[in-house]
Amino acid sequence: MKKNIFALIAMTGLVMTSCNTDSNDTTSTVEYPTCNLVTSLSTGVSSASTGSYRFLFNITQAKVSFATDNFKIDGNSHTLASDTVSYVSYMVQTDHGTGSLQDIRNFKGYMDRDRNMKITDSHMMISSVFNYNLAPVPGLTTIKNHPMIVGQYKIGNEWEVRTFSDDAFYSGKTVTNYKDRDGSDKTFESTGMMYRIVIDMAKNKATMVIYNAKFSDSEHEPVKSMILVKDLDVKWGAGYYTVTGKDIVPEMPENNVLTPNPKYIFNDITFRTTSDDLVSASIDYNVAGIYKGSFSGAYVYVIYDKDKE
Amino acid sequence: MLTIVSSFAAMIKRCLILSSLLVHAHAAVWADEAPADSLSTTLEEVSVTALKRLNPVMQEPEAVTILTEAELERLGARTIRGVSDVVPNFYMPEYGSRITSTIYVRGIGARMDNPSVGLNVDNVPYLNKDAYDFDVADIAMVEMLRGPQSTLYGRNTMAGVINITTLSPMRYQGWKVFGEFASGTSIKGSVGWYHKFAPDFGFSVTADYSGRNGSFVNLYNGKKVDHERNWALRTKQHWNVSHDLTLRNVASAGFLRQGGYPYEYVGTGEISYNDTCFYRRFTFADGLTASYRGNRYELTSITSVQHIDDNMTLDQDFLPESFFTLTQKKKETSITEDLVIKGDVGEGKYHWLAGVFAFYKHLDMDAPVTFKDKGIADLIESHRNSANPSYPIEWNSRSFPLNSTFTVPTWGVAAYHESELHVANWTFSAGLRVDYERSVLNYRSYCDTGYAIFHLDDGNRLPYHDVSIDIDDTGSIARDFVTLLPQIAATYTFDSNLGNVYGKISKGYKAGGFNTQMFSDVLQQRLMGIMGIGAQYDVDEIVSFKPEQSWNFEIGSHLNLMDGKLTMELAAFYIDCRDQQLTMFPDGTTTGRIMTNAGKTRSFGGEISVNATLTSRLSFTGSYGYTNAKFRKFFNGINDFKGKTLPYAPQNTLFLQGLWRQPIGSAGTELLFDVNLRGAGKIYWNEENDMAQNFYATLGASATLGLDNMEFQVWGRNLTGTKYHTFYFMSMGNEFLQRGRGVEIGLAARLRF
Repeated sequence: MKKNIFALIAMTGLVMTSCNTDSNDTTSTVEYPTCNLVTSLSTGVSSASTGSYRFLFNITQAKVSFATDNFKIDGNSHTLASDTVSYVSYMVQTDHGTGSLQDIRNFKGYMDRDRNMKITDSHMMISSVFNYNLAPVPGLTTIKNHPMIVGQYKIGNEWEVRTFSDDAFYSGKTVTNYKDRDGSDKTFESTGMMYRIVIDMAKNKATMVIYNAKFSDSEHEPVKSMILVKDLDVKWGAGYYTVTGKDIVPEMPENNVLTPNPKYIFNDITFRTTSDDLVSASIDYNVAGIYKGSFSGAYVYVIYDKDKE
Repeated sequence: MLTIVSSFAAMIKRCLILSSLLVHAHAAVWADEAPADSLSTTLEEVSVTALKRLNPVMQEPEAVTILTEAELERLGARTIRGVSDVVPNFYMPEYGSRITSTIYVRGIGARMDNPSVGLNVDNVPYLNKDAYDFDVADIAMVEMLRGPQSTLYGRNTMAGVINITTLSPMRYQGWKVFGEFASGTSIKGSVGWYHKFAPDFGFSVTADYSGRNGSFVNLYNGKKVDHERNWALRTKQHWNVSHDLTLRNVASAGFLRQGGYPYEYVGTGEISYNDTCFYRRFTFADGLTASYRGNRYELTSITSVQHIDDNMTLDQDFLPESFFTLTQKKKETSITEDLVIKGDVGEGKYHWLAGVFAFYKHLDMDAPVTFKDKGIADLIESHRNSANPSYPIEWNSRSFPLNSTFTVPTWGVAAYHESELHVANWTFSAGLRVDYERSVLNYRSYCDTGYAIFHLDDGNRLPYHDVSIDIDDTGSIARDFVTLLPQIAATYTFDSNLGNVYGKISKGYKAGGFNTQMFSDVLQQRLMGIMGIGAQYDVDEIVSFKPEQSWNFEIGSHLNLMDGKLTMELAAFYIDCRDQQLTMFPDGTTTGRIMTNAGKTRSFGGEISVNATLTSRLSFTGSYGYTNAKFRKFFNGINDFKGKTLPYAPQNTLFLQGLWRQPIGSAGTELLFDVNLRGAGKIYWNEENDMAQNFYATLGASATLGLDNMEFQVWGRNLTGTKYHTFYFMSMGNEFLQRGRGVEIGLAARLRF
């Protein structure tokens, strides 16, 4: 029986709830870590780095501003500060969970307080509805437990910025094509498989964890609780990124012992983000020369209201 | 001594009077004062009002079969299983052990956990179905009510109620001795002593033994598997404290030791398994009934305590190889209290009944599943090694247990009422029960084991790593159940004692519960998950099941024709059942069974029972029941069973019996010849309906020489050697059947003095 857990995570991180001494408004300051993919608008070259955003919420007036002092471009740190704008808060109920979502649009601001580095074309969502799996994985960091930031904005005429998570769980649908034992072509669909992409931002390397892996409906192929595909290469593109690898023998944990499993060698594997906001992705792979899998899904729940654009 | 007894009586009397000051009622006939029977009675007229009845039972809007002591002796029935097939649409097959007391009525039944049919013995409700199958040496009457009795009897009576009344020392005084020897080296015997120490105080004690060496042979070791030894003791006290106050106490104890299960593997047709199988059970029950008759009312208190302590140990694969074994040890103690008051108003035009019921049940269970050599190899190592052949594993021992312990406290309260209005020939009745129950499952599943991983490299098997598995999961799940259980009925009584017709609508209810047997599976899946293969069960989802509820529509008639020479009972019914509880064996290599809620089912059918006195010497009894029970909605995640017939319940039951009495010589001496035919089927064995037992019938006969105070009987069952099966199941993909008993012949003697 499959078991995917989609948890409601309360807004954690560094939270300071305070009362503004100048008014009766309720405010809250939270800081969430995230990663930024920064693309040069002139060259299309991208770089990515870890960072964080500090939000100051005026809950009474439904207004928010944000700032950061560790926004990096090509290894250099910068500051960002936005103006105060209204936000809309939603309680979202999906098949995968229930949680809050703050939608922040058309904020403005500056990088390094430079008027030539104005923030425009901006949209940011803070979502507490994201995929999650409790099972610990030997050798990987503990799972992050904070809301996800899905943000996009431009800085002047120089940069386009997209936020993403360096440790995200993707769920969606996997379709596997294979030849059965009798030589017939078969297709197997699964919505129970989940994919975790953990990126080592310093080395541009990634590990993919596949949960509840099953590539066929054959009773001879059992469900694998976890498959780790390590040492994948990360490349940053103009508004997207990829994670790829070839001829990788995966490992499967057996009570904290990682055991290689050559039977399920990944001949090739490619992960690619497929949406402008880096939320959706596709994964294509060939396993053992037998199974040809294709996944499409997303890691976080966001809503889009074009009327509000 | 007399002074103490008098003071005690006065105290009891005051307690009961204080709780009934404002009410008036009319006294009722006691349930256990069934008329003493004799072999010379040609047509047993029974008019008995049970404790929770407002009229004699044949005047109630109920499908009911009553079997008296003489009829039970002719049938050789000393357990409720003995009357299976005799009662239409009532089926209690042999499933290999007395722990499995499954009863199907009109398509509704349960092989596990809560029963669908309630059992009361001398008004004491038996809460645990595992204790239903026991010998009763001195049954005076069995009353079987078909259809939901949930309004008055509450939980787990949605298919009916069986009321057993044992012989009262107020009705019979003296000795009763019984002895029987039958095929399969079966020996039965009982001695009962019934005595009145005073006109108002009766005492009885009965000791009973039954034993058999068995008929089915386990080919693995050449021993009989279905051997059994059973001892039972019962004592009854009846004290008419005063004209208004009566106390009755019944205490019983039983000890049973049974062999294994006669399950034959379909692949070979053989009963052959290597590990120990047995069932051992100790039961104790005591019930105190205190009744006070006031002016136009009657107040009764029934207090009981029950205890069961049993051990079921199985070779759970039932094969001659060592896969796994199961031990299920449990101790359960229950306390019940039922307070019933009934009366009438307006010179009998309006009758009423009300009551409150409460119970507490505490279960402790220890149920380890032990994986053995071939089970480890085939069910664990092979799965893991096929998933990763380059790094094979080897378990660190060839036997290890998956342990599960449970504590399940359950308690409930209920209040109920029934009103009955008589208008000319019509009787209208309505009742309602409010029932609350809470059950908590505290569990612990644990195992401590491990294995070694090797690496195959150029043909060399090199140690890679050791993995230790230490699981210790505990948890608690609680469930609350609240339900309303109404019923309404209308009865038209014909003039001239011809009988009646009735219509009735009622709701039935079976409590939800917990799948304790699935914990070994949960633990096994946890273990496989630690090894990196297999999906995980959600404990909350799989270990509990919901209550089952039904709406029942019935019309029927009790007819008394030709001056009593012909009596008939007819009934037609329709049952709409929601969340029907079904026992399933999950796919794959799981070890347990689960109870699941099936969605929706419906059942309709009819029953007819006839008693005819053709001449002064020749009489005929017959009953036939038909049930058409199908799934209206049941998708188990893999298959859709909509439209399929419910498994395990027979579509037809048939009983035909002819009796010939031949007086001999002096008065009181006669020969009684009986020929009977019992049939059941078609029975589907699975939801797919691709395995079935067709309708089968067995022929029986007996000849009884009755003297003044003794009888000698020779009997035979299944005289034509009909071959049939009573049970089918699949386990680990293997199919098993249980054979029905072949020809049986016995000699019995009864003595009264």
